Amino acid sequence: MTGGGVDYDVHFTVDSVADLFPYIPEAWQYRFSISDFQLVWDGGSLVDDAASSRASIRAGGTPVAAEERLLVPVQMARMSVWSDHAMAAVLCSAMNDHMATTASRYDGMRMCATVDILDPAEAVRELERVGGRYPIGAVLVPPRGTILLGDPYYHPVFEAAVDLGVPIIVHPSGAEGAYFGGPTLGVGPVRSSYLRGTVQYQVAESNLFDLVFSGTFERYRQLCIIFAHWGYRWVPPAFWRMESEWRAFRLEAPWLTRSPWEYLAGNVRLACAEALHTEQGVEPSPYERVWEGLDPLLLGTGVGLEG
Amino acid sequence: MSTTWHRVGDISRFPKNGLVRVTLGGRNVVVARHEDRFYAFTDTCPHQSAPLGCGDYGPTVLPGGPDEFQYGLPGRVIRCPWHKWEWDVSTGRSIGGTTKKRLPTYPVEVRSGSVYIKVRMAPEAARAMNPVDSGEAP
Repeated sequence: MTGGGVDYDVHFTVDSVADLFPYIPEAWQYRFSISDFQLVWDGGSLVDDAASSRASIRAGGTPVAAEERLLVPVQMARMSVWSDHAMAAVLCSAMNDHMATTASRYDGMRMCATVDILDPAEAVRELERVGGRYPIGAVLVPPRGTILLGDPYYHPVFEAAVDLGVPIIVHPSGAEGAYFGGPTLGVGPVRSSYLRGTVQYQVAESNLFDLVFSGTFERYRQLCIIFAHWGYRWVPPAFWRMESEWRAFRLEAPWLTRSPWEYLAGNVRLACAEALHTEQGVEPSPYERVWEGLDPLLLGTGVGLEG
Repeated sequence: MSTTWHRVGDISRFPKNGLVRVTLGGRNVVVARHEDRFYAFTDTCPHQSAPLGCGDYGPTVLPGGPDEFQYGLPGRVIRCPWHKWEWDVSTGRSIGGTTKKRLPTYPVEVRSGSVYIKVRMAPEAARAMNPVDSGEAP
């Protein structure tokens, strides 16, 4: 496992939009107060009984030393199903300001900036605003339902992240397969969190495939994408298949100068609580042995922190 | 084992931009002709032994920037009929470096209107083939 004692997935949530009002213009405060819009996170967070301490966090009953933590505003991952880009921009700015205030209270705390992915140009402006001002450790990019991450739509945001020297975080929102406009699943619309949780890795899988085959990592060689909270055991068999198809259909993506495994090793990381188990000396599964030497795993506990 | 040249036919036997399968001492070899250049390689794909003589022969697209397709290597590429792996028939290397496996290739020469292929085979097999020479081009 790589990452140097960093927890890349600390869920940062607020109870309601009202918590962000100190950072929201008055007219927009009124706009929110008369609407029924809510920031939702139903993806679950582990209970952190020592969230204010950097000494240890408890995940699955196991204390883990984390020298640094990355706050991920998971409620903003649902932006892909929002319809109002102006509202998204206001909430992104407010959430970033609020996270920065929270992060400043702790040692070793960085924030994953949230940007208006409904409007990439606005996303870049927000990233430029917060980039030099706050301790940015990553940028949250929720994939849109019909636009996979290999699409040029995201290029401005990727370019800005590379310029800033920070990775992109892709995190589930809970809207996968459940809301119009959200990322779709192979099973179609889902009727339960159980089913969604079982197959939601497909969103990471399809977006990861698209990133590789589109040549995005050739275009932005310094780009790093962290898939957080999607698990990791699906990756080795998926990449085995990807490698096989690449040999057969190289003709359709001649710009790939490396094998898919090399892009995985060089440009992709997977942050998940399961990484704890590999760290603690549990016998690796056959899947894990497949990628020995690549070491793409990062710690991402999913511990919750309310702002 | 000895290396010998074998005549496999008149030039007219080999259509331009096409493939012809020949047998040399029990070995299946594919002769490819691009305009007036000839290539010879084994009829067995190094991946899963598909018959390359049934594959697509021609050009390919070369590595370039994202979303760029560059036409290249006309008459130098055989695509496997089963899994579409591509091989450079002049070097035996995979196109695009998709594998370190190599396609065995053979030297080819055209002399006096005939096509000759140089292969290694057991002496008794070579004698049975009545090679035109032993170790040297005709």
